[in-house]
Amino acid sequence: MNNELFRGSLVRLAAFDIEKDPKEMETWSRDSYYLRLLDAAAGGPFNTRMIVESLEKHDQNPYLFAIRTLPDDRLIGEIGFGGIDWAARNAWVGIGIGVKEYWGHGYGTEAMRLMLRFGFAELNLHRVSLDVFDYNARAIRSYQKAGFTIEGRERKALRRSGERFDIVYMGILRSEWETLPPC
Amino acid sequence: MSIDTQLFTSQNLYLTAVDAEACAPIFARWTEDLDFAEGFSNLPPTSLRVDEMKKRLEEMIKEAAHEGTSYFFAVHLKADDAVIGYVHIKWILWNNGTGQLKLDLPEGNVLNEHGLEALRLALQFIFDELNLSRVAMVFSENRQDLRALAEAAGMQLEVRQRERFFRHGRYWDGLMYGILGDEWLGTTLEVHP
Repeated sequence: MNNELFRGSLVRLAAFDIEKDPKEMETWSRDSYYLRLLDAAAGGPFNTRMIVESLEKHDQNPYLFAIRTLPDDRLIGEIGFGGIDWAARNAWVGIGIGVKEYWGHGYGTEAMRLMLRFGFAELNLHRVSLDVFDYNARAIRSYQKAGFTIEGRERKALRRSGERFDIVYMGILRSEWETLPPC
Repeated sequence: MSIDTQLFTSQNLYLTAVDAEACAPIFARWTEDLDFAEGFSNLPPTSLRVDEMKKRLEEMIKEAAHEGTSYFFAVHLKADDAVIGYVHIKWILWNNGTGQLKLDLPEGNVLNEHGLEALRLALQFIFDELNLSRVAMVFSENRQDLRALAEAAGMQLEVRQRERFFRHGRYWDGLMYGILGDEWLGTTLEVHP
């Protein structure tokens, strides 16, 4: 078996364990700061049953992966492609690192690089898009490291605790990904 | 703008709720134009049968009625009551006061003739009635007609997603045009009934 496609040096991308993972993911969703980094909609905690139900819809969203550390195989986050336009070969990518100790150490950046390799080398995508909130400077830096370019700002699109923030749009083209060093 | 300003009627146009039965044959015919089909739904653009379109319209009407995160209107020409297009305000996030606007008048030169009037009606409803703080239109750059319309209404180009769409044998950038409520008020483009 060759599973090198989904393995880096810090993390690997893998299917979820529907017995064990939802309990861990429930703890992430109780952190409102984490939710405010992930979603423009008003957040709320998920319970284990809701997470199981959403993971069971894997056939509708086949490109969703658990991010697990190497070599200890700890679940630390999730990453997925959605909204794929197969004519333009564009996918939207979303990522969350739920375990905060792993923020700022390259785990998310490597997971994104693995996902881009999967998207460009296996799904034959032409570009990958994402949006990120302007108060999430750590994520913006990570996406730039993975090869994304800022393509614009949806002005004042978020209102949180009385303040307004922009949504930043980023993208990477296949031709740009091909010039990056391999992961 | 005052409390009795008409929100659904302008000089040449009026907005109504969409009648799925009556609109399905018209909208189904419009899907033969992929420019229309691409903007109208997030599903892969293709031409739809009348019964498929009726079902799609019923879903959109139901969503607008029950979920409170979208509004869906038919645009009529006053002169002969014909349905000439649609306005769909969707993905409303009330916590942020934001939404996305889809609008098309696909027949002949109708968009160039009446598009700005329809867009102003939509923006007036969005800012004066829904009280959103901003709204965006997103479309492929091959839609130069929509681009001219958005700019004429005072919307600003905020995002250019490179090579985001593929039409007519080539890639086109995806454009997001946005306008904030205070920018709209600054335009004082009151629509005259």
